[in-house]
Amino acid sequence: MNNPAPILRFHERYPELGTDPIPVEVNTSPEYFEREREKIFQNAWWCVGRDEEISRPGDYLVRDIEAINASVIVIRGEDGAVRAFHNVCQHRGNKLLTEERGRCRGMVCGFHSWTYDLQGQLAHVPDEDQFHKFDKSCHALSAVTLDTWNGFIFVHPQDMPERGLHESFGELNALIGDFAYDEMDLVAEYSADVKCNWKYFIDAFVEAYHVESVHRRSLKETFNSQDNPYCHLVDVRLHERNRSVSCYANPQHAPHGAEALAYKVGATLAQGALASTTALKGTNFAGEKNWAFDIHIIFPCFEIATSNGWYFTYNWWPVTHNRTRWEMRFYMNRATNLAAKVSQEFTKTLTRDTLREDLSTLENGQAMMETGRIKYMTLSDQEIAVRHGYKVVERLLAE
Amino acid sequence: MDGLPEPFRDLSGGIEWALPTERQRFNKRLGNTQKALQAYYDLLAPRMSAVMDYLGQFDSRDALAVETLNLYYMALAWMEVSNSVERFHEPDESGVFAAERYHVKGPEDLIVGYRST
Repeated sequence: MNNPAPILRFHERYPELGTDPIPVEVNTSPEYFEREREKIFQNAWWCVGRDEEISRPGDYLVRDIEAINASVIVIRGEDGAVRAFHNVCQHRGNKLLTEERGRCRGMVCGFHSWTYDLQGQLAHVPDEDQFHKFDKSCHALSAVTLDTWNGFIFVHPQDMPERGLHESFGELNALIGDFAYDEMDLVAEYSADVKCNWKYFIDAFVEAYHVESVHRRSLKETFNSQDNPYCHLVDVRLHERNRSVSCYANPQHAPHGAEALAYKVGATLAQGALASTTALKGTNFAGEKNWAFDIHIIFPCFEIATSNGWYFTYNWWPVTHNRTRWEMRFYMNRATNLAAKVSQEFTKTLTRDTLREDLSTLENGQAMMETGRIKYMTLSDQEIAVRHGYKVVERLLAE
Repeated sequence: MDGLPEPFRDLSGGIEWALPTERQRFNKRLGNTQKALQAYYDLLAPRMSAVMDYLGQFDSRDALAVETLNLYYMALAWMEVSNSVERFHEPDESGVFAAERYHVKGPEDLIVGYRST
């Protein structure tokens, strides 16, 4: 870097966010969570999966979304279209589908075998004559608003969302809309039910200040360098609600052992990105040479991270003010041979273990905030995306 | 149990690591001693370049012989074990989020109608 950036450069770019400490009460208050539920979660798009998970008619997913008090069926119809329905039998309210995913010819309730077709219409009622003035067409499943973005399936709790899905992606349409999602395969999902607030959970993934400590055994030498010992972010873009953070890679890092073997055949976590000579669509929005990957938070609770050779997504599912379910899905370049898959296994398993490091601080942090012995969080310029997340929530609750 | 391809019979001592899913390999790693992990790592380490060259010949979408699959699963397990040997120096890293509360799924668990290698 010939022209060193100003030390507090992100604050200079986004002075409106201020520099005040952030009250921890927003992470510990059940009342605040209820306001978030009403103002934010009930007006959000929730990513429930990808097109390829349910590729044939009758393939379905079931998602329980506590934050909006709903269980949602996402199912591909005979016509190939994907639809979403509330998972509630219209007879006496039983939960219609109880498996997380599957393939069916019709949706059959386990209580009295009322059966709905793949388009959600009530198709069969045993002993139908015993019902009074009964018209099956009046008992279709209740539809849920659904839309897709680049193969990601989203649902929305409102019949007429205030903003559409494309609009919700905002600036991210330009930053990651043309990434090669279709050229990648799902290779793993890691998930956990964590006793912490959803915002506090997300905070752990929008700064790299923690790499030096939390990832000292797994990835420190991949990311931190002599020139950048605290893994300063390559760039940050704070949007109206969404956030984008670009992470640094150590150019001096020389892969050895398993990583060297893996890197001969594939990208690995940061080495592929470092070595990219041409810009890959949907990556490296800062155009930095020493770049590892980018993190994009699609407000409120979804993340897409893109790099060379892979991308991953996070779903945060808020349950209560101090409990959040989390799912990470990892997608990698379609492997053409078995050696490529072995290479990917290195990157996949190391990332999996690194995420367990990330999760290690969350429950302790939540529990200590709840002791009342800390009132405010003090944030550095490197944590400006953390600050932005709290400010967006605060603004929306005040509207 | 079926064995390994002829050029890799010298690795038969590690055949117990030929496990088809990440979850199985992860659990086996966590349930082992560091000494046993080191032994498996050392058994394959000098041969991994040759193993990768060999596996590079096989299209991942083809039907594969059991011996080839065993070698492939052992190579995947070697990558799994390398985390303990090269980075954490213990089977399960201490101080991190508990493994029993951390769920590992593969595409076979997530994609309806998925057909695996």
